[in-house]
Amino acid sequence: MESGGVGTGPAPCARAATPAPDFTGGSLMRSKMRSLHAAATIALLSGLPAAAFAQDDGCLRVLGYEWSGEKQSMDPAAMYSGDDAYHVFATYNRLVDVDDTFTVLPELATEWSVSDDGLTWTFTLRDGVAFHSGKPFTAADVVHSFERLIDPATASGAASVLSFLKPGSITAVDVRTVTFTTEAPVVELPVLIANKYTNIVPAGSTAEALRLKGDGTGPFMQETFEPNGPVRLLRANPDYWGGAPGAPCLRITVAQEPVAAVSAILGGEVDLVLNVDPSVIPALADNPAVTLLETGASNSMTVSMWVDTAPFDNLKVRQALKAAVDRQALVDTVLLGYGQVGADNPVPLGSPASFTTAAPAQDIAGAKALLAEAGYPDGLAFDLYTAEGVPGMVRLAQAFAEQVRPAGFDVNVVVTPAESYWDDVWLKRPILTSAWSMRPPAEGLAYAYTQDAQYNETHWKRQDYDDLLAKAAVTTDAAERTALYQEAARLLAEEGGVIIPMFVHQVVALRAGCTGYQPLAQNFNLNFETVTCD
Amino acid sequence: MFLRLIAGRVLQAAVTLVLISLLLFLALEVLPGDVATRVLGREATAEALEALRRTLRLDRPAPERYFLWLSGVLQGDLGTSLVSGRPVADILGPRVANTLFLSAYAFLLYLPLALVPAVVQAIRRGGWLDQALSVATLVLLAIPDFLLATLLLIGFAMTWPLFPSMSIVEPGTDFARMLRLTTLPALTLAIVMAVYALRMLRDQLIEVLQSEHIRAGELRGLPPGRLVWRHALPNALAPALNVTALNLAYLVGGVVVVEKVFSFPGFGTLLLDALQLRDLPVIEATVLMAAAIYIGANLLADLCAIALTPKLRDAR
Repeated sequence: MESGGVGTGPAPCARAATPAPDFTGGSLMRSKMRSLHAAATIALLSGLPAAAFAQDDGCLRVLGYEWSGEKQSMDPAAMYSGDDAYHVFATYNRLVDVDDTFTVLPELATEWSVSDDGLTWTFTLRDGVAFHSGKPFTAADVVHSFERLIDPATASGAASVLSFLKPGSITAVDVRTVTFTTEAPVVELPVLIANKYTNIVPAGSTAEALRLKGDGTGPFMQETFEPNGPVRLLRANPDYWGGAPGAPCLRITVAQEPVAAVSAILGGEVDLVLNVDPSVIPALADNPAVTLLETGASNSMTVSMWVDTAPFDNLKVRQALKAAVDRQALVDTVLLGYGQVGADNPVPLGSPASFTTAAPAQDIAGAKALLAEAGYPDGLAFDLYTAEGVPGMVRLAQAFAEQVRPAGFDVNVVVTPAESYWDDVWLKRPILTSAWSMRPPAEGLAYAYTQDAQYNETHWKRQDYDDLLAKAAVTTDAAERTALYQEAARLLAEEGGVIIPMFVHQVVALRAGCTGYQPLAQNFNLNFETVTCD
Repeated sequence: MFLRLIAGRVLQAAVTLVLISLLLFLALEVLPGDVATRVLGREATAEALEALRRTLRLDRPAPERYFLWLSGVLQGDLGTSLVSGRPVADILGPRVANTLFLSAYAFLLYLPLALVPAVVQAIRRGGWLDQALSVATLVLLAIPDFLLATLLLIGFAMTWPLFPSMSIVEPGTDFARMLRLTTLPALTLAIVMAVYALRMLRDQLIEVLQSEHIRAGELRGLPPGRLVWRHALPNALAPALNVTALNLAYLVGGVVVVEKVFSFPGFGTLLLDALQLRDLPVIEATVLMAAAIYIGANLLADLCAIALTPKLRDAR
């Protein structure tokens, strides 16, 4: 969402949803201003006519929302923030792509297969592809790209996701064929290598060079790029293997103020606003000058509690809280309807790996009974910690507190500064709000919930749960594997310490007159080449 | 005499700046998170974080790091960004140039915005125009700067699209375009500053207009406009200069807020970004510069007040 990150793709221990706290982009001041801004905007902007501003060069003008300043880099291995995704995903390609259901799609690899023992994956590369520098794309580039990602000297966040790869395990069999060999079967390898870091760079390229000058095979070629620079300009790659992009060039700027983004697209100053802050959606909805596009389930928002700490170590207390939540009401109020309900596990409803087709309905009487059984017939009081570290998180905490009150919970919402939330509060309080970006089921179920998870925010440590995931990780039969995910998800939903009442749908605004943009739930995965504007 | 005064104040300022740099360093030390976690994010392995800290010498003791930085600054070297390795001077230069342009523009707008209504009000004191302007001033005083910026954005970028919503200045922007890009942020700053000075200036003018020597001039038949501009205003300006100095000090902080609303690539947004990244050399350089401007503005105001006020001038 708004300050949010590109989340993190299939990174196992990646914090995400947004903020990776590290790049909240000055959210402290913004969160203070947000309510006033929102009020002013909604009161004054709604229904204003769109004004025309002159278009200069025919470039597709993209307005981002996340800003990382001096940290900006053209190096895919250093893609630590959503801000970098804007130019990196325009410049480069990955071996494979994934869609919102985590189905693997061809990109620079056209086909792939795994050996019978599950230890060797073979990828066949696309023919006739060249880097922007003119160098032909070959297997050596793939080997170099992955070897530098797992090299500790690169210090890439990819290293932990790709821990199953070892130096020398990536081999160029011939110019068009690459193999990945692992010590144990990694059945989800194609999904795992489609994370946000794995864009392919030319063989021999170094971090020093890539930082400022990107050379990819992608639809746009770098023209102007400077860390902390006001504008990024990229030219269309006329020889792009996927067909020349719809726009002759790409102009990327970032507005950190939601109101400025609204004003810019209504004024015709930009064509595409990559993430519309929920506070300003009402100003754009129903405006003919703008098309709002919505992704599927993107970030999850959670209320997370420690299952080893009283009173949340009592299963019935956790179940009472889960029963007392009105999920649809949270989607409607906190997300203004731009979201979907969740069932207390990171797999969204509708995904093949979801164990259920419906989220639990609110059941105050049931919750009361559970709380009494747990030994709190007179109710239970606790502090719930939150911060506007992700847009809407404070409202989630406040709405949650009101919803569970009739069941006998006296929840005191403690709002802390957003800027230091992920450093000072998160992982340090027994019950708090959190948010995570969307990941494939295997990772989503594992990254915060296994015994060795780096960010186990609920202290959920169950051998039977870990065993299910470990078994799934080596089960080659897809249906059998899905069944194992479902079983793990059910266990987490019914007994775990996390309440996932909803998933956020990200909202993108496209100027009327532009077509062809498809926003994806993994919001770093950007495809500007399909957009055309009149 | 004048020179000794200046020398004393400059020395005082230098000591203050060093103290500020030390306090800032200590504050950043106790803030949670360091540049390594801010840059590498939560996905980083412990080894990667350690390696980066070693490279940046963050593993060295705090006093050592501070004195290393300080000795560099004393030799005119502001250091390099911990995040990108670029020299701080290179990062700061264009941003400061942008903000100086914005501030100068805001200041030019500020002067007539403060002077003209104040004079009009003083001449027409008690009249409907005076009262209307007083009410308008009070209303504007009550509006915080970021809200005023937003209101101007909505008014003059959206409803009447006279100016762009974002003041994104690119290298090589010509003067005319620069003016267009910075008008809304400059106007925001100018209004905020003007409403403070305006009230003070009006009251001062009225007081001076009632003084004996103005009365005498009135009796001699001097025209009221001449009386106000030539005789009353210079006397009323001295106290207003203090407000102007305070306004300059506000400007240093105000640009941070206003630049952010308009996505203006200036010194204020640079400071916010650097704070987010815990990029110490950049933070130190920006804050010290802001402090220097603040101290300098106050010094300048004092000197101007001395030069403008006959009583003080003669006292030397």
